Amino acid sequence: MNKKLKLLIKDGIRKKLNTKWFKIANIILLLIIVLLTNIDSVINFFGGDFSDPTKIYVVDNTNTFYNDLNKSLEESLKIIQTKIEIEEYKKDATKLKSDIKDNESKDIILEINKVDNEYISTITSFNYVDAITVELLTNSLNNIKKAKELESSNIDIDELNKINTPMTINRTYLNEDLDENYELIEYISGLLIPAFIVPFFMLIIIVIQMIGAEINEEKSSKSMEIIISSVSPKVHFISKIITANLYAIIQSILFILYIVIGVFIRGLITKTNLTQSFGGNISGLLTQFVESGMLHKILTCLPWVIIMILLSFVAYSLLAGILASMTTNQEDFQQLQTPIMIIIMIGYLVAILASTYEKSTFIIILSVIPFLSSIIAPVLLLIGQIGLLEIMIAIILLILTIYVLIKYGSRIYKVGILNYSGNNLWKKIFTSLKNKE
Amino acid sequence: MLKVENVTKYYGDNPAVKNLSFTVNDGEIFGLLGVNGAGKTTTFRMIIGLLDKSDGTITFDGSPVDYKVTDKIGFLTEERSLLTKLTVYDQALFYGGLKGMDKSEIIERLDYLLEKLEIQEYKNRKIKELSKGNQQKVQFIMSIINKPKLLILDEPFSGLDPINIELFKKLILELKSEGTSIIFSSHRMDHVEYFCESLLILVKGKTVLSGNLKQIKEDFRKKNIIIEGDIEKEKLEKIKGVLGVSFNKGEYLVKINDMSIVDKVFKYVSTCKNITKFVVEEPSLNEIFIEKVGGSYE
Repeated sequence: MNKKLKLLIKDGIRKKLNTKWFKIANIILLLIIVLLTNIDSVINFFGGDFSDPTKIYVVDNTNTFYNDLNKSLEESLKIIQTKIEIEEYKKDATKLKSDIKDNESKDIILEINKVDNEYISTITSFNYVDAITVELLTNSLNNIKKAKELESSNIDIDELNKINTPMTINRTYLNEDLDENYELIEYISGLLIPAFIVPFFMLIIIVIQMIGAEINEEKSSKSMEIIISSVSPKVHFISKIITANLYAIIQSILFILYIVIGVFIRGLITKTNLTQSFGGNISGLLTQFVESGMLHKILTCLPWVIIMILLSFVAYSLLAGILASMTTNQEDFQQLQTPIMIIIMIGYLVAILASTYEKSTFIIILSVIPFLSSIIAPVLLLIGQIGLLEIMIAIILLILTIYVLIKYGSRIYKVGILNYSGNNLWKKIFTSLKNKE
Repeated sequence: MLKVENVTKYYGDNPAVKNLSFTVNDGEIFGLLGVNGAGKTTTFRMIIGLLDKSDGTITFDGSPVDYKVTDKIGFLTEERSLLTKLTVYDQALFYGGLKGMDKSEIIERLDYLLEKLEIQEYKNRKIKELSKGNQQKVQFIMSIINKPKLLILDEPFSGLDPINIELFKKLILELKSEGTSIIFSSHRMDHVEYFCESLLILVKGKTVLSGNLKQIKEDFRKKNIIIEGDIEKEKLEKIKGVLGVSFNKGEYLVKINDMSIVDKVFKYVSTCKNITKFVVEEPSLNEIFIEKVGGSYE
């Protein structure tokens, strides 16, 4: 690699990483991410009503429900994270009600009675009871009641099991092209789209703003003249693209590292493994994700998707570099970068709409168009609306765009970086396009 | 040796520089003068390869100026061209590196120049924290960090006090003695006269005067006569060929339009009393410049 190109890249990265604001911003970012990944522990640490379990006093006037109810709730509480304690209350409930009212307590009284051969339960509380607790109690009571009724009907155990076995529901699609895991994929993609697009958006903004700020700083300080008298504008242009993208990669790695630290701390606090610490639902989802073959499908296309995303970063950087060279100060560049933001926002909206407008030709075409493809195509791939072919088309179009941006962009860049006046700017730009390098 | 031959530069249809030719030999200081907008910056930019020429050739030591030779060139711009967020040390590493120098070479040269300009204590200070004069010193150091073979100095004394100007002058003369070809541009004609053996004056991109400074002065027909004594100003003014007479600090300054008038003036002065001084002087560069460019300059 050219010695001066190396110097420009090294200096650019050093300038960025050696600032106290980079260090401060990353310390803040680390703290925020660690706090977010441990938000429940943080909330618990500061305490509050929620940290005390809700006590359920069971007044079982039938003398048959309490033990089964206790077992049922114990099982449910292994999956659902809500704090409930259950206790059988055999004294007069009137005094208990009076105590709860006087103390404005969040405890609950569950009275179970049998009137005219019908089981009737009453839930008494001072305040509103959260929906999860009510649902838990309702489901448990209904199941116990059903079991008791079946038992009293003298049905043998095999019959009982037969009754309790859920119905097998098979799904058949007459359209052979459809993916039987589509609904799962749609659900997972709903979770992944923001998780993918938000960091992408952030990193693109970092890259664009870094290129704009660096070029404008060098232009406004006139040091550009000294730099360009020592290295060609093309080398300078390339150095800016590489520096900004390297910085974005470093920031991404740090971002991932902060998440790992956050999860590690979570493991230490909760003393559980990764999936357990985020609850049983995620664990189940991950199992389904692997079993459905989606993971395999994603891994097959992943290298190409990564190439496409990297190429998109290069294309966005080139565009930002060209625009920055045309401006004379940071304010002008801020205005010029607005169209880039709008392009990314369009990509984001289309990606969200993709699952609603299934197999839309318009959306599929947008998914291969440079600057939009890196946002839309991975989402469409995930929900099965496009395949590897469309990804390859998107990559080819991106390579062509990068070629055009380098060929003509470097001509604009050469004229733009030494232009300090907005007069006849477009005329100068169009004239520069006719120049040979 | 820098050779500029018939160089022309057009911006659109407007010529910024037209048929410009001059040569700067090794160890020579060459003055490139002109009012703002005359084409000096365009010329500098073409010499260091920032701008493409529309026509003509520029060679340095026989080779066209390209990125293979720019490492041997130093450029002090009229405006500040420093990355002010950097320290003096970091700035030197960056600019020196761009000139293809090794780190140890840069540090050695930086220490030498900081000492010469008496600002060693600012080595690790951020440039933005320095005074205007010290920033100019740093800018000068950056332009000569690579011991250039060709140095372009555009208003090098801007913002400097007389003591620091002397420090700069010593360094410039040191570079000259080491064989550096220097192009010097300044609005201060006394500085140009101090340094330059030859010069060129640009007006709207065209050369209106060029050559050896001594020869230019000799060839300039208008001269000055300084007289001290009891003379009558009105009588002097009536002599044909006398352009004007002024009185300042006990001396009369008589401007004449060529040497043949000296005899006529002397003849009259010989008739006057108490004459203690009669000196025929070359015109100053400032006068020549004003005459050629047609405007007030300082």
